[in-house]
Amino acid sequence: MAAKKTVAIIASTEQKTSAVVDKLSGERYRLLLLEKEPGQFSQLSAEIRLQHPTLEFEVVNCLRDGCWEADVIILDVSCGEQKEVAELIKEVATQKPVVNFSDHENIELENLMEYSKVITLINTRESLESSVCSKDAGALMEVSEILDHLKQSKT
Amino acid sequence: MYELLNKKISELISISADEFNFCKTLFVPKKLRKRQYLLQEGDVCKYNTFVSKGLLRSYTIDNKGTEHILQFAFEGWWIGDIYSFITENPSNFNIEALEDCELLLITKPSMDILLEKVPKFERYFRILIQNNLIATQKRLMGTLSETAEEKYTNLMSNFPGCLQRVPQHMIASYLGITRETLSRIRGQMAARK
Repeated sequence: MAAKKTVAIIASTEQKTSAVVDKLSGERYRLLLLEKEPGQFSQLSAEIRLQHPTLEFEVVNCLRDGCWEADVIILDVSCGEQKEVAELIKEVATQKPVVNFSDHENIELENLMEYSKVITLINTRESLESSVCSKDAGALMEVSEILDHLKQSKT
Repeated sequence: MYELLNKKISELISISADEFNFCKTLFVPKKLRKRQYLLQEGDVCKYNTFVSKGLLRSYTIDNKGTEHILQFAFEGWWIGDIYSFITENPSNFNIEALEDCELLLITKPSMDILLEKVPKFERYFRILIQNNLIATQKRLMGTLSETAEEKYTNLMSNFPGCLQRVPQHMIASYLGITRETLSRIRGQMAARK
């Protein structure tokens, strides 16, 4: 029996968070929805409880603590927010896979979180196919199942 | 987060601030809540784990469903399944948090990098393995030759905080005795005082 992976989700909107939750709502993950402001996801968490009654998830109102607990971090914030978020979480994210949604290759985040395993999930408007890039092949293997779920959510 | 690791390493080897800063970049900081698992039977043990805060236990379950506790890991200790960690074969053990924990995890590839870049760590890990071997040998000898009371007395003198933090049925499991026997021993010892 495999130990459940804890996945922290940092997304800028309820809609984005909800999309990720829907794709990772199987039994294999424990999800942490990280709020940037207290109460940000109170309505969403009630909806998730209704839609996915067996899902193990929790709303955490501290990005750093949530990422400290996580095995994998999913980041879906604007480029402008990335720096602030990276500063808050990088100390507790060393050697952890950080899956970053983007519409282009994102070297800046790799520089901001140089000791994390940054994986960028690129989705272009021209193509419904998402592609993945990372310097760390091991990290891609480590989160391949999560990436498969997430790629579906980008279409 | 890294203070205790730094302290424990410095007790055995001398390293510079730069070397320790490099070491830090190879660890995965991980919080684990009480009753969550670090490792479950059948999984490959991918990490060797340093306990910065909290308490864990490793145990196995026999064919009759009985738990056998192999090890408790307190602050400053390392825990893992070295067989699974080295061979990448599935583990027979479970590792569970008995308290909320703050852990530092290191994979085998990261440990190999650390040993290559800072060879002093060869000495650090050699001493850890020596100490572990001694502890394992003592535990084996205790299991083979000590009375239940001797096992209990040794546990209490080696780990005085154990009774306050570990439930009695787990102490009994660790000692390889029943709860009733443990309770009787404690009663007899209290009566003698």
